[in-house]
Amino acid sequence: MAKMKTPPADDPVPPHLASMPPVPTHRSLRGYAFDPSLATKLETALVSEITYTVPWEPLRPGPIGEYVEVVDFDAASDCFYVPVDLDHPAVLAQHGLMPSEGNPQFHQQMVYAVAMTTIDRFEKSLGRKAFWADRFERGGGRATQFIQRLRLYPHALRMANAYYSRNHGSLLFGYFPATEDPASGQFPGGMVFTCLSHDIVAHETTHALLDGFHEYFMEATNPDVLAFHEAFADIVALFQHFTFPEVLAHQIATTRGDLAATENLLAQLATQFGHARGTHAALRDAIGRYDPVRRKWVKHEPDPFELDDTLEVHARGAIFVAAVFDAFLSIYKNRTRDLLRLSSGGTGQVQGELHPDLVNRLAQEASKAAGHVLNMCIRALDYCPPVDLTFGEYLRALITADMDLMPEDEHRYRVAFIEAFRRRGIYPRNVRTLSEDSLRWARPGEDPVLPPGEMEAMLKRFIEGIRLRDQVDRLRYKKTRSEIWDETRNIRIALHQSIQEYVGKAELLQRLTGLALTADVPKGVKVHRDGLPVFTVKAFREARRQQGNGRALNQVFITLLQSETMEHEGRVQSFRCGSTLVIDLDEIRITYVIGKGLHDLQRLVRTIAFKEGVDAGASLAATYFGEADEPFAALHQLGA
Amino acid sequence: MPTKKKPLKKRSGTKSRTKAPAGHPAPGAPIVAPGSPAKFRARVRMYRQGLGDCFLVTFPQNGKPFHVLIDCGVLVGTGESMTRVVEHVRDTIRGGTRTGKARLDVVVATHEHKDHLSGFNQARDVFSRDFDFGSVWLGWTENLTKPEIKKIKEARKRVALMLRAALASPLAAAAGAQLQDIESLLAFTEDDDTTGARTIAEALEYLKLRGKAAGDLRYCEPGTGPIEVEGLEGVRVYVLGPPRDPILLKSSEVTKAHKTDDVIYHLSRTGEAGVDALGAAVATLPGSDRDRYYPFSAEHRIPRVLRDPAAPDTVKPNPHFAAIRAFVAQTYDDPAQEWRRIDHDWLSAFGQLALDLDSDTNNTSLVLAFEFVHTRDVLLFVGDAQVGNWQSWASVEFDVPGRSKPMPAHDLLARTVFYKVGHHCSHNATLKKGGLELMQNDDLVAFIPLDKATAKMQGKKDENGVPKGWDMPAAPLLKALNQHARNRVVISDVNEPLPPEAAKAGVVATDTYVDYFLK
Repeated sequence: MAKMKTPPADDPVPPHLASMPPVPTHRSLRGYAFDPSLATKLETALVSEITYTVPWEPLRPGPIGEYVEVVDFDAASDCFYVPVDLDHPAVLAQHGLMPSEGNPQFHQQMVYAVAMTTIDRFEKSLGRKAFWADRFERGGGRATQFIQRLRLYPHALRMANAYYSRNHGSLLFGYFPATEDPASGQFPGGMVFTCLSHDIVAHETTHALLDGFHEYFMEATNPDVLAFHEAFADIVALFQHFTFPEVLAHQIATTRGDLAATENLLAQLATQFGHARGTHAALRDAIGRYDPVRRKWVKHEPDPFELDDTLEVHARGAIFVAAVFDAFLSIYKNRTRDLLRLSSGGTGQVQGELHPDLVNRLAQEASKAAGHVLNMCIRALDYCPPVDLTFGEYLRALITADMDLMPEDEHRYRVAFIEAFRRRGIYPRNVRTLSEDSLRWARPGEDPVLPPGEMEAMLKRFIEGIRLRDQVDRLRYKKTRSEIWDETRNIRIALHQSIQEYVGKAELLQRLTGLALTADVPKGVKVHRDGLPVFTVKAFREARRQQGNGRALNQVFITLLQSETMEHEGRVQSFRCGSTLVIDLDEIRITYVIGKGLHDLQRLVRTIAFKEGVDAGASLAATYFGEADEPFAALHQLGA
Repeated sequence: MPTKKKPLKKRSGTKSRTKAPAGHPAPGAPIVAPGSPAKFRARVRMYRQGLGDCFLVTFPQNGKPFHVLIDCGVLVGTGESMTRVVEHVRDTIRGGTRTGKARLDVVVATHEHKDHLSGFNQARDVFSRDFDFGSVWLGWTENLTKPEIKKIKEARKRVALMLRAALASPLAAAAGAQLQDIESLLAFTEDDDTTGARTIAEALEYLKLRGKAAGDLRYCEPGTGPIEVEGLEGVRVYVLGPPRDPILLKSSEVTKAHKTDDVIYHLSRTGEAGVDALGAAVATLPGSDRDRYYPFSAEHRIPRVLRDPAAPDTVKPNPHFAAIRAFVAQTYDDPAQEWRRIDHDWLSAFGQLALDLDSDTNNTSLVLAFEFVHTRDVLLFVGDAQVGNWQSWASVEFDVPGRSKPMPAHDLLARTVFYKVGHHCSHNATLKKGGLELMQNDDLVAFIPLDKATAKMQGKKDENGVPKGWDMPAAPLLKALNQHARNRVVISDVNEPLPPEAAKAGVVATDTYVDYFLK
């Protein structure tokens, strides 16, 4: 076990390793479970505070760690707040500072704790380190820059807004006085801090993580792309609620185990933020909403046509979130049916309050199911096309990823997902049926021109030719994120070169991906001086995951990107294409090719129609101010 | 703000103070355009004064013409040119005679924006001297005797004041481009020398006085029975907006969400306290008062330097800052990380407020439909109504004489033959679904009051000083309009040629105005 290092002493006595304390695995930090509003209600006061456990890392004041740095500059007030030192013995000894709205150092601690919890969750699901979006220096050539830390500004804005800014490599959190409406249940005019809301911090951190994963998921080419960004950020924030044991048990006891039909905190996001704006409800709710006419919370019934005319990003994203949450609820119900039968003498209808033991068991099952669902959602990212994502394609990615990892779907998770998506009208294009098999991404089939088996053999020779296993080995034993980033970049460059060198074999790859990789370059694709087409190896990721049957799955995900220009109705349009290759390293086989090829006129027309759509959601700001510099700033004015 | 003087008509020497003698129409601007039909049921005259609305609607009524003036304003233009427009209106009504009062049977002010009302200030003398008003119609949102309306207006005024304070503060200079957007937006409510230092609110006041003097000042509300006006036979007037629902009044986003629970409206969300808190950051307030708006008490705040509240220009070093100097130097002040600084990002709150202010006022637009009882043709004037206003029409119904069931307002859209395009053809001032898509009449003609050059010189300037411009006309909307109106879309801009399809449909243009005839 690793031991704490002591500072080198003048004295030559060697350190006595045996007596040194082990390096802690975790750091405990106190914080608000959801946000400060729970602490002021008798019903929830008991569960308003929790202890976050984040992976141990040495911290400088800020806190500044490996992934994030908190810099507490408040521009509107023109001042700094003293950075908190979480490694101070007094702070360490009491699990961090006590939750307090009036203490900026606690705010810094809270932002750090939630951001790190979210990053940790992401890394655990993917089984590899997380990276932030690279920075392109404007006018600084084509080199990209490794961004080690995401910067967190807990008090950046004096308004009801918080957003992820790629331009600043930062999360900006705002603060604002609550509405004066006394009926809102808030202290009228009292200060509300978005950085104290678990949901908002987790949501924004997820935006940053997703942007570091798929750079072009911020490029709105269809109504789903940005909606997915929002939905995904909500999903991560939402399912993290199930990792708070006290709150979970409390909510299961109050809803009597029925999380689907009763208003509950677990399914809601940003409670205080929503109420403080006078909307009488949490900002978002996965199962119901506040009915302003009846003045009460009502359960929202899924409507398969809702998606068609819901184009506003958050509203559309909310449908997606509701679908995922619905899948989770079905899974939870399935997993707990036996427990309810056992404790109700077989009827399944428990009378009176739930026994605390039953509450605990239900909470365990909910927590487990939520963990699995979140895992499925995050792992699906590896199987997404790199550009122009749609909800339907994400569903396919999710089903495929899960089929690879859990060939036996014991608890029928996938069926739950398919059903929940179907109930909301979320279907992929071009699949024949809504079965698991047809939703799974297609494997590269036989080429009719080649003799049987030749295709596979050729691809195998190609993968060997580009020395993929060697490349992965180079990456395996790199430790720091900076080293991994550097090595990954070398591999990407090497891969780019080998694809160009193996032009002949790349022809097969070209056919599979629909991109132009050989010297025979079609019109509309840029060409290098040597006559080869311009394309990039955008990402190279590896994953070693354990399958449900205990065997290891060694995979590599490679993303290729290319741009083309196409003419449509007399106007030349630039158009991004790309492909994600999923490669099984043990079998030396390309398992899936997931992508958007060149010359897809249908897609081009769809994209143009979307961009021109009058109802597509552009706002008055677009009329007066033009395109926004901070895409999420404007989006989040409306949402979170 | 840069005011570019734009000559309105092809007249030489318009910069000089000489005016055409009263009673004479401007040369090149006949009161009846060559090519006009001898007989028609209604004429809509759109003046080409610049970016702004001025419409004279005339119903001949068998020799006793009935005149309706809908708005009279320009965003950027001189008092003289606006005076000439008003004089032309007068001469048109007088019908060639040089004396006597010109009677405007109805004067409509759609909403309180400069590009719709400036003329009532700029040409106040002409209006007072030469015009008789029959009645004045305003939206119910202008009735300041109602306390809740007054409150909304006052809140708006506060925001405008606060935004001007922000622009005048040293911050604006430091922030550079960040605040320039707002500057051109505020022009809608601005009073400048061309209006004789009168505010736009004063133009409304003037109209109210004239209405009272005429004994007929109306605050119109949507959804009651159609208005049958004396002297206007065979025509019913319907009021579609401004909507009664305060929530809809405040929304301009193209979303379905605000029909349900997710109504988000920045001003109300920011709230008065929010506006004040923003204001406190730009204005010099007395020390203790300002303290209330800081997120933390003074002991927590570490400014770089200390300022004496009595003499803000004298600074002394802050001993507490010394303790965090190394931290700041390594993070916020690190030159290599300059791109991560956020000194001005918070100012976007002002931009949002300015937008809200603008769209709120636009949404108070009085929306009128003139219906010919026998032929059922409709002329539709929407002011600058934005999405929220449009959406509210879905639930507006009218009790029409002789009909057993109430008539839905959308019926009127389906029968519209003339549409005055809202908000100078900006993106979200014509609802597609539940709006334009309902306008299925084969004879539809659309008029856009828009001066492209003015729209182009608005907004934030880039490094070469070239402004970004406003997205007017919004290309997708213009395309959709052209589809629905079969290319019979006319822009008031003097440099825009009259589309042949429009000419074929009987639209006649001069340099001063464009006429639409309902035969």
